[in-house]
Amino acid sequence: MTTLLSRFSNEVPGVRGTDERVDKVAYARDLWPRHHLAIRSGAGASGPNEPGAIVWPESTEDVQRIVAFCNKTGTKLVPFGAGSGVCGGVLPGRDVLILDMKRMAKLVSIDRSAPTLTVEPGYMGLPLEDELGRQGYTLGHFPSSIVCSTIGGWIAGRSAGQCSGKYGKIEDMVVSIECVTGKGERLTLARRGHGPSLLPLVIGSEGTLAVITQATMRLHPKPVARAFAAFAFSSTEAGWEGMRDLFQAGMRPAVARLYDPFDAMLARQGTVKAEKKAKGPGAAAPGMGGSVLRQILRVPSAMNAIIEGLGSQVFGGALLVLVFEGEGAECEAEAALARRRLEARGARYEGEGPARKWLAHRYSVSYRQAPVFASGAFSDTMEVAASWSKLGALYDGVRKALGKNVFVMAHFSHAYPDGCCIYFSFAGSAPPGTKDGSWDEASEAVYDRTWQAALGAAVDAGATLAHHHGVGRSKAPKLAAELGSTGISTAKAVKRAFDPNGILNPGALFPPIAPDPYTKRAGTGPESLATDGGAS
Amino acid sequence: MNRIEIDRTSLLVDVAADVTLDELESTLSREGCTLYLDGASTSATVGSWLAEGARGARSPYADPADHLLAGFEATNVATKEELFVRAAPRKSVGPDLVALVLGMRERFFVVRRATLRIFLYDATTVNLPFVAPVDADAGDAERALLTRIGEELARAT
Ligand SMILES: Cc1cc2nc3c(=O)[nH]c(=O)nc-3n(C[C@H](O)[C@H](O)[C@H](O)COP(=O)(O)OP(=O)(O)OC[C@H]3O[C@@H](n4cnc5c(N)ncnc54)[C@H](O)[C@@H]3O)c2cc1C
Repeated sequence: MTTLLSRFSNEVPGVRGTDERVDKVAYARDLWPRHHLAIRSGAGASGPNEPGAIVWPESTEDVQRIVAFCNKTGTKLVPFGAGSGVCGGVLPGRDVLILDMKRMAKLVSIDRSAPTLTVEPGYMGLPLEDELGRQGYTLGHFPSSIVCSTIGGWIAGRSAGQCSGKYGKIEDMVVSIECVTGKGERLTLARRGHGPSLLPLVIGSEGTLAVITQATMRLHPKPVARAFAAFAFSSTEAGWEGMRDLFQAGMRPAVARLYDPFDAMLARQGTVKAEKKAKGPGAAAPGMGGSVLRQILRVPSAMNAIIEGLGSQVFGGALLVLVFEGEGAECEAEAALARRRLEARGARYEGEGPARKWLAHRYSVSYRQAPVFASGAFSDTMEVAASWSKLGALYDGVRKALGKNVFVMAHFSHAYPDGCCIYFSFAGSAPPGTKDGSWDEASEAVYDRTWQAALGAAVDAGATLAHHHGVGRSKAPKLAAELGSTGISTAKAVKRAFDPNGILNPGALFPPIAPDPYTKRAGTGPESLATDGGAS
Repeated sequence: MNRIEIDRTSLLVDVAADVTLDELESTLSREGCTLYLDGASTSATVGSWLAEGARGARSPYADPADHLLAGFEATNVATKEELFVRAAPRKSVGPDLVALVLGMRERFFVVRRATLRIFLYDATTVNLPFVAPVDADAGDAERALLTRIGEELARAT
């Protein structure tokens, strides 16, 4: 029997590939929490989403040959970085080829005069930053997933790192990219001072327009000094007003993270716990406490109301953590200036401790999903952004929408002169599924309802649906509500120009294709596009 | 909606494209704000200035946490459909459609309104010197792609 891999190997000799079951299972999905629900319920560990084969190009020429094969045979192609996406950006099917970029991971060059870095897309985040550090530089991009994501995935998803306050998001770091379009052309797209640039179309295109094969990125000198400070505020709003003041005054703390009172309380407690346990393997990290969560998830509305009622006083107020970094004493001076400005607004200085603790555990925070799912619950995060004048409505609207179904807390971790990102963390649960081997339907229903309500509230508040996780499949059902029907038709026109045969990552970003159960429940189908324009 | 709407909280101005930079700047200055342009032709309208690549605007590259054009409304030159890209400090919702208007000389869209970043006169401003390599000439493949985008947008309904 001819398989996809055998056809591929005949036509594109010399490119490694596999169709071993174990590999197909591993590449059947990314880390969209909705997949975890399916896995937990035992409904076919990967089932219909196992790809036909996985291939590993080693050069841009290989990518061009693979794209040519796909165009000729009508095979769909899904670029794959490290699979750490959390929105269902990677969800192949039996006749789909996965293009794993990890064998294209060379550091091509460092131009010390610019300074810039030219690198292949499969380079993993942490080793890249380590290598740059050895050479005296930093990219300045530190997503919490730095240990499990690639530079190609960052660019394809418009990722944001923890130090965005100083270095910006990934799109602010890209000088140029080389890519292979869905049509097969090899292009270099560069940032241009005053001319047209197609670069912003490919950045954030989630593998649907082109395969990124190389990137030239701006570098910064590796910081040699850091200054730390933390502040308590009487309310979350007072806290974000403080952040606004700093950023609009031209200050650029590398890290500025504001936790709402409950999240702040957990972070304060969590960091203490983490410090005690840090010596042993599996040391706990700050953030959501699994045992606390399990107790409260059955009654989310009541718990949200109680916590709201207890108010800021009980939890010690909202907490703002600041880290300044740079080449010398200016960090201390900036921290002192920030302190003067924030104290003048009524903030209480909490010393350096919380900021230092945050830095020590900066990558631990996000890895607590497994225990939550194992305990029969689910958790997820949602990162939306708006101008400062809309932030209050966004915070209230999304919290209210989420709070009916799940327990919710929030922090604000990417600020700009004109607005801010709100990062909601939520956890919920439902009675266990009843049918043997079936999906955990009750959990899925709660999960889908929660997302739809929260995305609707974000759109109503005038926000963007995603600040840095992308759209994938999880937000595609509501994309038309943000972009409007012309926005969608424009994006689709761009897609056709880059990828006339629609071979690249079908189903991601552009509605309508989505996994069936989600489509039925959440309205991801073509009909939802027709009816969902403009409002939600 | 007024031709010039200042959102002081967000330091943004929402402005009709036919307003001249001169008119905009004098309205802003009455509010203690500025576009902070360096050597831009002040008789140009906001729309034509954006179409030409917003010369004189502070390069967002100089301050990676900042940007120029937060959102816009525009008309597809071929289909006359109205596109509305809502203002946000940053986004991750697919291709950034700003690329279809900024510096594109109204090849695909004509801007009707724009939401621009403004500055307070008294703000300390960060100025990191960095010049991005500029590749002014599009190669053959990029030119072909630009043509295809135009063709596809002409039938984008
Ligand atoms: C614990 C945890 C913490 C996280 N924290 C953050 C965070 O702080 N900030 C943040 O921004 N994100 C975060 N994420 C989300 C995720 O890490 C990012 O979306 C990341 O950019 C994905 O990179 P990846 O290499 O894993 O890409 P993948 O998940 O493999 O792919 C993501 C998308 O990009 C496409 N793609 C990948 N490589 C290419 C390429 N070379 N060319 C074209 N398309 C390509 C894929 O088709 C897919 O659509 C987190 C995720 C987890 C699990």
